[in-house]
Amino acid sequence: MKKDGIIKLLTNRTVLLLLLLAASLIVINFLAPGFVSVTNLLGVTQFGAVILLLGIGQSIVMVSGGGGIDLSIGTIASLSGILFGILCVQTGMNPLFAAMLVIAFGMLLGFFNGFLVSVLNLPAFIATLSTSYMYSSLSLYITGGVPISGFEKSFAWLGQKTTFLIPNQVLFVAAPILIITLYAVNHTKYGRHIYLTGSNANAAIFAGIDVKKIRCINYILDGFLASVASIVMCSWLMTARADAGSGYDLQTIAVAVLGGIDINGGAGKLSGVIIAVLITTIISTGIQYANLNGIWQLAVLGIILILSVSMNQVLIYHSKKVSKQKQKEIINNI
Amino acid sequence: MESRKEILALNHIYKIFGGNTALNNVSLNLYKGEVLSVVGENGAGKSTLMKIIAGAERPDSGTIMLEGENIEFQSTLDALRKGISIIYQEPNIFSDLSVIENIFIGNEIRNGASLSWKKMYEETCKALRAVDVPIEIATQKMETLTIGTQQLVMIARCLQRQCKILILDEPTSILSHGESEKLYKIIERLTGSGVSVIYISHRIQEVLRLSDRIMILRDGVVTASDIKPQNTNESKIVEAMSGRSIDMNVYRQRDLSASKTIMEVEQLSKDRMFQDISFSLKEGEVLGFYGLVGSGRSEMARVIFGETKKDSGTIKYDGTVIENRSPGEAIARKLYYMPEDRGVQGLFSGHSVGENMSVSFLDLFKGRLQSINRKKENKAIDDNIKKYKIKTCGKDAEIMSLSGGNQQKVLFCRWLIDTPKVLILDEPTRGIDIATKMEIHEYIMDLAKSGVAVIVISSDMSEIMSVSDRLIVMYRGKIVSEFDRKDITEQGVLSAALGLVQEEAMP
Repeated sequence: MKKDGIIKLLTNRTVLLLLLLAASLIVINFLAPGFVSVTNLLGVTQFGAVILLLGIGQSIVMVSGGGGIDLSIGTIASLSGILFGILCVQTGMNPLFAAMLVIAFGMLLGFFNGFLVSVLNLPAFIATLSTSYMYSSLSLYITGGVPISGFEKSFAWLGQKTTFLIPNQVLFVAAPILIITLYAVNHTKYGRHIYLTGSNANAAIFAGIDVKKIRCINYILDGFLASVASIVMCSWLMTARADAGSGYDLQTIAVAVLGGIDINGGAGKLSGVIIAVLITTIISTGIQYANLNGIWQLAVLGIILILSVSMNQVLIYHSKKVSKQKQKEIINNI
Repeated sequence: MESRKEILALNHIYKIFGGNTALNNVSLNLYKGEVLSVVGENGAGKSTLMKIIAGAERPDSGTIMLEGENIEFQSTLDALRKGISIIYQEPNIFSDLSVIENIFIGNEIRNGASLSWKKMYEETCKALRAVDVPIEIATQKMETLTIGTQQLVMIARCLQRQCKILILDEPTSILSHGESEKLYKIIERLTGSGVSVIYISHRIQEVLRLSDRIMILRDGVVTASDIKPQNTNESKIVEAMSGRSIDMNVYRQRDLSASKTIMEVEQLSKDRMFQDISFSLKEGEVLGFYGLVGSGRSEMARVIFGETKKDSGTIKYDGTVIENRSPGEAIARKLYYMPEDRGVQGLFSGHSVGENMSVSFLDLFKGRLQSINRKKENKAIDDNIKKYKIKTCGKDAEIMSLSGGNQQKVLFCRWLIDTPKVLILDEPTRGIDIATKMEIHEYIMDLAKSGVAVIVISSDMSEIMSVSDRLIVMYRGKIVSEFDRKDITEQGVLSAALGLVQEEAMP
């Protein structure tokens, strides 16, 4: 009985991830004493803001199923960032106004993905791979590969300054957006519909859910988050680069899966993704902090991913066995 | 009479699924080189029996003798090796592989480590000739062939594997007239060469023409096992297929003459699915749709619900002509449809009973800031669980942890969260136990009494007869008969559904 309880607790993805987070903190603090302190950890969150925004976008697309994935999320961020750089630096537009335009642009790029996937019915993998190539070429063409720099100094406030020790990009961008998204996904009809669509799109249609619309909205939201992330990146680096978002496409899939999002859709919590972002951020910054070779960052991420996913499989298998027995007992009692 | 060699014998076979007895003491003998037809209504147990012969299911008790030896099949592959092949209604083919590959799949001729294509090609040509298919198609992809030719290729595959017993499960239901004729000839040739054929079909004329013997199943029981086609006729066969006692007590006829017409469907058509469907529906009426699987009933319902598009025709609803372009629009008009396939079209596995139940009416529970008011939602769900006696450990239980009957009740309740005006139920009790079935019938009656117009589509004769005020029978996409409750007889309905009644017979 006791063993069952432990297994049940461990199959809870959130618990497993929290344990993993604690373990990585302990290991990192051992390798780099002094890493774990409130000030330092709060500072570290600045490295997580961008991946968090992008990871949430990726997760929502994945949850709605149908092979939903966005391989262009990084290039949307790059292209949006380029537009932002051009608007701010070359035309001297007010950053706030430029940001609104850029966000609309990002949503348009997302809509294009959504259109290809849910209206033209292209496989998401192919559609977003194609758009990622397009968006990426466009970024390179516009900039000629030369980073755009020369943002107003005050713009660094967003990406490089802190308020009450908390990086501004986290406090004023990532956190509020996170709260709204969590609310929308966990408490509204839209959120419920995303998960049900991901679980069984066919049944969703018969239940009156507009599956195409839901999936299209998800890609628009994804584009929204990517463009917001691009603005954060611009402020952080004070340049807009055509390759700013490269690598994020797969990394966001990694944090989504680590966080427990089912690649077949319909299951997985955003809270898990948040912890997964914390884990990866702490490990990658911790490795730098400990003066280890940065090359190992990705390898460590890979190992954690395999371990956590396979461990989950084993635990789910066990808990299913247990719950089947229990069901039988309950049914017999009725 | 020449001495006949018995090739297959099934003795006292029982098969029980859940609480339903699918086969009840069924025995069958098959002789070398004969065509034995197995006839029965939907759900009479034909498919189960065939699956047992083909090794896809194992009997709960009873024995199978193949050429005098007691055997027990472990799998279809096992049965295949022993010379028993089954060809299903829609052939299981690998559509993007060539004909040769389809014929030799899992049984490739090898030449050391590589495949001997030359030999396989030769063998394929031989097999194709035997079924009268031009050998040029041997290298073509399966998907480029017509369904009829695909079926013949599958028969060729059986021949190549030296099958002794060939089971054909409603082979002509998707074939054109010409293709059917070709199939009859090939069957004749096969039996001439010593192959035994078990033939399943709904087409009585065809059965009479083709068979050496006919066996009839009803509700899992053999009602006639050795009919000779020359000693019988269509009506005698229909009589043996029907004739069960049907409980009409669930429900008594009511006077609906004062009720208002809620829906009128006129000349509704969809290419190849159904044509010129016209009917009207009154408030408080239960209108049954009976027909064989594939007669176009579900397709028609899905068009009315807005899930698929019609080609032509009009739907008048509550006095105005409407166009449901999506299920969402139909739902907004309080016109609901419960689909026939619980798992594929109905349930959200991995989600709770509650989420499965409330999905279509989340707007009713709208709280502040677009949120779902959990309190209201939970109350509605709990009320339904109680009212419809759903056996579950609670609304948070995962939907798949429930029994089939209770899953079905959840889907049924999904549409009762908000009172429907028209409720279309497609196979509302398929694959569930008798007790739950009766319960659902009662709920249907209660709904009708409260003024809801209900359409019940069912392949279950006793169900459709006991719940319907009026009954429409469809055959190959068309309405062939309409019965008032007082005129419903099982034989009449069955004859219509089997296409034995001409369309002129319609009032």
